[in-house]
This record gives sequence, structure tokens and C-alpha cells, in this order.
Amino acid sequence: MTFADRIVIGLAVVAIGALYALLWGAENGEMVEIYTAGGTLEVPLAQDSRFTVDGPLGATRLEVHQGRIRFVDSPCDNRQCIHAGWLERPGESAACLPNRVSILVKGKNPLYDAVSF
Amino acid sequence: MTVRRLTGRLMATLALAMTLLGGCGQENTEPFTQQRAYALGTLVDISVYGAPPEEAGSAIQAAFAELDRIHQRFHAWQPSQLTALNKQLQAGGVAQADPELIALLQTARKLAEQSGQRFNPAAGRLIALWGFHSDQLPRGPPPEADQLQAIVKQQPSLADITIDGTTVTSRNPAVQFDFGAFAKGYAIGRAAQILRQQGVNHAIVNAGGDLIAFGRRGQRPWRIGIRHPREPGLLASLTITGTEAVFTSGDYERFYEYQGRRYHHLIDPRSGYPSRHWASVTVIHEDATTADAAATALMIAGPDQWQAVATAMHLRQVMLVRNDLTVVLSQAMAGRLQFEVTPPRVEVVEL
Repeated sequence: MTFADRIVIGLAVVAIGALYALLWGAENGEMVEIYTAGGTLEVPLAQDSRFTVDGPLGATRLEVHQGRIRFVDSPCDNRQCIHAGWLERPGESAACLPNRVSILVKGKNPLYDAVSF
Repeated sequence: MTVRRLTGRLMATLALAMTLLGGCGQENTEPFTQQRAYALGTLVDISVYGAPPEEAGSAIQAAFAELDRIHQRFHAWQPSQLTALNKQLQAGGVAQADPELIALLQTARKLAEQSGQRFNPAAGRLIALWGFHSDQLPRGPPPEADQLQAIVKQQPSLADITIDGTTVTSRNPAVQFDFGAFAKGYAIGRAAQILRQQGVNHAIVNAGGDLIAFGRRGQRPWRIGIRHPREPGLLASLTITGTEAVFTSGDYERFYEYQGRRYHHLIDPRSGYPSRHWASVTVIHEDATTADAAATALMIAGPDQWQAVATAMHLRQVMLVRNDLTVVLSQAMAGRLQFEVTPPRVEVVEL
């Protein structure tokens, strides 16, 4: 192996690393948008927090933990928002329709652009 | 190795790396605009790719305005063009309707006939009796069997309707319209048209999990997930590049539980009760109205009849999920669908 070969191989390794970072590096969302009847707020997923937002039926409680977010409690019948569980990837979304609260994980390269259900 | 050869190899490596990186990087070079609002009684996301944010924003606003217009005109229980039609038909069997409503009735009549009346927008009385004509979910108990049978026996359907110009005549006093099983398809199809008229070439209109997509997201197609009917997360995924609507109907969407039994909103007009054949049905079709009506029709069609209904409705791409989570796929669907969770069994059927 010549010195030049080593440089070429070295560059190839760097290029693969760059590709890896570009394609798989930013898989988790960075921010989450929370839509409520009173407006929209943005919360970072990097920082653990628990907070409450108000809707027409009452208070909806949300939790951010280890880069993920979930509905903890909401004054609705079906509790579909709570059953949605943790969201972490860009494009993931859950809603409490009766209380007009919905969340959407934002990020550069969402795994899915929309979900059918 | 000479300096020239070294330079050559370096250039080749760099060119390869840049091609690869460039191909991926271009994904986000053009603007992406997404807006969310409550429309059609649900949460609607409109995503636009590749249009300047201001143009995208005004196109999205125009699309939302169209959704609101349609929602108000064809609302099943708040005063609307449709409730006015129902009132007139109930009072004297004759009603006047404008061209848009006439066109919708004609489309619905064709789809209902193809579905063997499993998709039956004339059976609105059943939906009302079940208590689903409300923003709040009913709590039960389910309606009395004889009340349901009284409606079922009268067999209200679009075949009872005669349309002459703008005059609608009904031969069956039980006919009451509810466009819930196809108005959303019509509405998002119209919203997509409005976006295109405003110069948008790449977009998704997603109305509470029923969507129409056209164009692409830059260098890649649109990626669509299909939710698992029983667990959080996805069952499957697929990509879209042309214009296609994806509609999923499931027993988990609008339902209530009474004494441990689940009653959902997809009522079989022939029995009067919620259909229990499938956990969910997904239909892909270029026409959103057809996809919407077909998802309902297949939910209601049993395991023996769904293929005949699908053929009559000219469907090629369907997925049906049984209560035991085994999956039936049409061949065309099997060719493009990727499972995110492996079902216990998958059957592929030719349509």
C-alpha cells in the first residue's frame, strides 16, 4: 500500500462517516410543537420537563423525558392521546381532539410525512 | 504513484462523496411549509414542499377555507345545505339542491351501487340513532334492537332517489343523508385542487389520518405511515410520488364502550350494528372520494364479499387487518407496502 492509497482510504472513511452523520445522525426530533386552542408553543425535547396546557375541557398534562414527549393526562373520554404513548421522531404526532391539544415532533428529516389511521 | 495519479484518485473519491452527500443534502434545500388547523371536525395538516413560504402559506389558507366551506355545507347534524335537504325530504319527499350537492348525490349513488349499498349515505338515521351525530361521543347503552330494525327494514338507499335537474325526489320516507363516509374524501380532493391552482406542485393534505398526496418531497417521494390498529406506532409504510389518496377506516377511530363491548361508528346499514369483520381497512386510490367511500364499504363487507365489492369499486390497492391482526393485501398493495411490525400472517390476494 502506498502513502497515496492510505490517503485515499482515509478520505473514504471520512466520507462514510459524513454520510452516516447526515443520514442517520439526526433521527430524533429536536423540538416539539404544541398546538392548543390558545395558540402554539415550541418546547425543546433535549430538556426534561412537565407542563400543563389548557383547553376547552380543562387541563392537559404533558411530559418531556429523555428526548421524548407524551400525554400524561387529558380530560377526554377515549384517552387516545395517552394511548399514543411516547413520541420522539420527527413527524410523529398525537392529539387530544376534544380538548383541542395536539403535539408534533419537529426535525429535519422526518421518517414519515404523514400517517394514515 | 505519481502526483498526477494521486490527484486523480483524490478527485474521484471527492466527486463520489459529493455526489452522495449532495443527493441527500438536496432534500431540504427547498422550502417546506406545514400548517395545522381544526377543520372537517378533525385535525388537518397541510404540508407544501418547494414553494416560497409566502405563496405556500396563502395556498394553504385557501385550501383550509375550502375545507371549512365544504364542512359547513354538508354537515350532518348542524344546520347545513344537507340538513335542509333532509328536512325537505322528510316533510314531503321532494327537495331542491344546488349543482354541487346534486353532483355529490350522483357520485354517492354510483359508489353506493358499486358497493352493494354497504357504503350507504342515505342511512343517516342509523348513525343518528347510534348517537354519532354529536361532537361528543355517545356513552351508551346501544339503541334498542327494534328501533334499529325499524330503520333497517325500510332499506333507505340512494336507489330511492330520483334526480331531475335540481330537484331531488325520494320514494322512501326513511332516506336521510349523512355524508360522513365520503365528504372528507371530497373535501381533501378539493383542497388538493385548490393547492394546485395556486401553483403548488408538491403537497399532502392530511385530515385526521385520511390523506391525499401529490408530487414529492424534493429528491425523495412522500413517505406515508399506516397506523397499527391495536398498538401505538405504525403497522406499515409506503411511498407516494404521483397523486394518491390513502384512507384508513378502523374500529378504533370513533367508538364507545358499554359493558365491556366496543361500539364504533362504522354501522352496517344491513344489520344496523357496527361491523366487526376487520380491525382496519386501508384503501389507496387516485380519487379521494372513492378511497373514502371504499374504506367504509370494505370495513362493512365481510370476509366473503369484500373482493366482489373491491372489484366493483375498481380498487386495486387495499389492506385489510383482521381482529386477530392477520393481514390481507391485494397484490398491488403487497408490491409497495413495507411492514413496520410483522403481522402473524399475511395473505396476498389478486384483485
